[in-house]
Amino acid sequence: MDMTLNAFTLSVLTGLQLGSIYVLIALGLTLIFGTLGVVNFAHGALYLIAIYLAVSINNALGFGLALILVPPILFVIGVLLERGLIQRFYNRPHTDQILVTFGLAIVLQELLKWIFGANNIPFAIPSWGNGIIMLHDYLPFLEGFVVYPKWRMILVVVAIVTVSAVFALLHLTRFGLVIRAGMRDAEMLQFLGVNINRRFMIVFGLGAMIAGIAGVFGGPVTQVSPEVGMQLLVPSFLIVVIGGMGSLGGAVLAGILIGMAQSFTAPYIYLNTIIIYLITVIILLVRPRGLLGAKGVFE
Amino acid sequence: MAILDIHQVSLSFGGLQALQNVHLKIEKGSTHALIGPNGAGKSTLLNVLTGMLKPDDGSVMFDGKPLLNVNSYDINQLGIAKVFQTPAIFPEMTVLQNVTIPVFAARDGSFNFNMFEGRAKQRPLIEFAEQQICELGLEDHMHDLAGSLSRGDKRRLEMAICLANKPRLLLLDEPTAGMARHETEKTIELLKSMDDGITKVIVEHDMNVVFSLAEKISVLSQGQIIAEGSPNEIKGHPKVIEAYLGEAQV
Amino acid sequence: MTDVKSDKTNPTAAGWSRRDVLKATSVGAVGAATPMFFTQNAWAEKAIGNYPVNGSEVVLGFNVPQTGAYADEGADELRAYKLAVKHLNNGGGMLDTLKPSMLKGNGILGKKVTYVTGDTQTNADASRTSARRMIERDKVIMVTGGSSSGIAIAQQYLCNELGIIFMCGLTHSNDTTGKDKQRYGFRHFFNAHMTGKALSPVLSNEYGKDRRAFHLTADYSWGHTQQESMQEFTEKEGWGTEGNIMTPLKTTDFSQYLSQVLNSDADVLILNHYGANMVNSLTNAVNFGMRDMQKNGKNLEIVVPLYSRLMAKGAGSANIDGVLGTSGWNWALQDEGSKVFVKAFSDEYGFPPSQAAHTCYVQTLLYANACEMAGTFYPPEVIKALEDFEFTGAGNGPTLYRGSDHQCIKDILVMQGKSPSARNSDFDYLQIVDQVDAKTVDYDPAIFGGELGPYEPA
Repeated sequence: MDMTLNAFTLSVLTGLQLGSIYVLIALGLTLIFGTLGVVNFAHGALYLIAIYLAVSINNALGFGLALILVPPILFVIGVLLERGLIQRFYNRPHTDQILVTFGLAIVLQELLKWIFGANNIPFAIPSWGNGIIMLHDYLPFLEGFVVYPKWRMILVVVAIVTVSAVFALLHLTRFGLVIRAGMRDAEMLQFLGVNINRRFMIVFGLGAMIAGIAGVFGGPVTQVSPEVGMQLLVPSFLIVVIGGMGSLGGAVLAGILIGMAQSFTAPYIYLNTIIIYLITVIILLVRPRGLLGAKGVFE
Repeated sequence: MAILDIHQVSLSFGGLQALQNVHLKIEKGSTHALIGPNGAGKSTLLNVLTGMLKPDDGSVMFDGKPLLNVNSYDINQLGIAKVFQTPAIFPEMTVLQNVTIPVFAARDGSFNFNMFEGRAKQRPLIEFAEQQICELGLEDHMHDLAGSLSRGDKRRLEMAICLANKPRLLLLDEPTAGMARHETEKTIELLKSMDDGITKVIVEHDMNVVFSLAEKISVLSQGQIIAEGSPNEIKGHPKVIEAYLGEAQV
Repeated sequence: MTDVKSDKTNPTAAGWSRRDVLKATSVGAVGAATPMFFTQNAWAEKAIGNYPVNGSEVVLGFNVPQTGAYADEGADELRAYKLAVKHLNNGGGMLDTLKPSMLKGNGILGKKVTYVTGDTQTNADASRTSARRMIERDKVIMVTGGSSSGIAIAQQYLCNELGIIFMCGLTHSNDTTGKDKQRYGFRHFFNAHMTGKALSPVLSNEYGKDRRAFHLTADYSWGHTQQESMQEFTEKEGWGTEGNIMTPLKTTDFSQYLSQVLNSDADVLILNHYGANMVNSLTNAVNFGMRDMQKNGKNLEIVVPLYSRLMAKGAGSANIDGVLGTSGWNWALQDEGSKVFVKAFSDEYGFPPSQAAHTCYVQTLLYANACEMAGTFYPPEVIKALEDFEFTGAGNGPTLYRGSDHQCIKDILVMQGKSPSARNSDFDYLQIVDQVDAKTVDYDPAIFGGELGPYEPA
């Protein structure tokens, strides 16, 4: 593959940015699986709700309010979803969980289509985020005119900040300590007097909230139409599998890996369409637990 | 005064009758052993006491309060703790982290979302946790990962975790299972040195342990209590011998 | 001949009465009527598709995307179809402007027009299933509709096999009346070749002859033919082609492809995308600052060869401002046929029709008219009536329904996106830059190969 340094840099940035959205969604997915052991196929629909909410608020009241309102609303929706539906499926086999959450995803998608129509709703980038960054000003090894959209770089930063916040929550707070213990052995925590289910409910809400953040910043990038939820769900789910179910570090690593893979195979359409499945198959054959997964899952 | 009153508890799994009309009274502050051949229903009874299983019939009163239909974590909050066959610890966390979890659970109740609590408020609880760790002789390993401890030390850690939320009743499910002689001796010492105010119910196969610790013994066979009494009364009890020998023949 | 009055339920009654009139006017009419007499008997013996039509009603099948990405366009097509049925049964609309027309406003051949609808789901298998159901269960005499070339071609094949005439909806690929042409398929909407031919001179006028184009192309039949046609005609204008990347249909984020474009020497980006693809690729390109960029000392330009109002709305006027493309029809046209249609549609639904609605409406009327002209529903005769039919008054000026490939040759429009400030309403996204004459976009059907096949299905 003959690639100039310019082309390489652009492909890397594109890979990072593609990966960022995947990571944000996969993070929520893997958190929910790691704590509750639930395969939540409705997660793409949560992202869908987030972008529709965000674009509606943005077009009516401005981006700032969208940023402030959407994540907390998604948190509440997540908690309601968990209490109302998901918690009845904890002890059911994974196939049941997949069916019910997938069914829910389809219902939500059609509902949104019925309310908003099937057409795309333009989500304009706020003025402070608009424009391009002159990369050649910052990176001396680039020659000539090399630019990248500012908003996509902002998206990468948001992803980094969110991932860091989640790690901080898990490793530096007492709440996180209990959650990590719960991910290891929820039953035992109960014997120690900890109501772990209620904490997991909060984690579900957090997972939904992360989808909310993804929606606010990712909406202008992925666009707002009913198909977007499903389109992101499958790659995100595969990323969770590749990274290791329940492993947050794995989700981040796999997300970036897939983003890069899609970016670098862009010129080769046949490879580009199947690369994510190819990688999944290889990982499942060679290292079934995923890149950073815990032993015992899928093994 | 009976701290634990198990009254006509019955439980069956499908066609198998695991517990049949079990009557058991545990005196407060005593060390009560529960013995019997394999499959007698000892673990099943413990699971009923910790809220894992629901009996078909009967009632359990803990200090005058009903215990059935209570969540496991609330049972713990009431003051019952269980020691498992394999040490129940969190290997990827440090010894100190392991012990602080139940310490905070004891203070906060089963659920409390206080992420932003100040360090100052947390200090006394962490100190209490450290104290527990020292009392069980693990101060050298305070910040080591729990998974790196020796088997015996893991057992101590588990004790520390259990004692951290100051239980009034301690359930021990075969605490010396698979242990070598000297480890068993250490465990016996550990249990002897424990606070007399804590009621202990021990399920055991090792008769040495039973006779060293128990003030009263109940014998369970095929889901029923067939004998009860002091260690001396049980030693030569014909029904007990029959239960064990009968098992040997099978 | 006196028995004609006693037999009112005879399906060939209309033919009889016309023959009666012809006989009454001249002796030569008898001679003209006689072959019809003989062939009528021959018709009555052969059943093709759902011919003969029994009863006082005739059923049409409207197979449109009711779910999926093109659901909004499908909804507009359905509105147009319902309006067409209303006009066929009651008169009005383009019945007043279409010439030559034998439509009387009392249905088709005296039978009341009813319809059934189906959902193509923008999926070839689903559309075939739905079409088959309408043909076998609902006994439709004609199937029409659709927003995608893949779907159109699939349905065309099916209908051709079953002896049912298929009047295409919105399909732009050259293949539909090219290598995949069918005797029972008819397309009124224009194709990629005509787009290339009409648009390229306008592009070189606006942007100069010394340009290098880079194509991003949707990877399926339509995308390929669109790209080929655009490349062929831009190169005729002297432009160079820097590259072409195929993009999977399901792509939503085009940044990886745009990076490649930016890295090349191209100064024009041609987006061979439709629907959601176009909305995303155009928005992405604008986010990359491509509208404000300069390459080779010129402004970087973006071209969207096939435009639709729905797509324009989805992309937002800030993004399409000034972007050139083509459309088959637009509600701002001032000819009689267009005005009458726009008024009827707006009165009925409260907003103006899209180009998809226009082609669907016209196709329905043309089919009905062909039946009237042939005097029968018998497909081979209806087909013959449509072939080489020249008409006017349906928008787009004088039109020829070419017999050699069943493609309408008519004027097409070069459109340009309006800036947000220039818009007058929620439907006013595009302005007409040029109405390109039918003769200019005409082409030799032989360049696309394919064969129509026999008049009677095997």
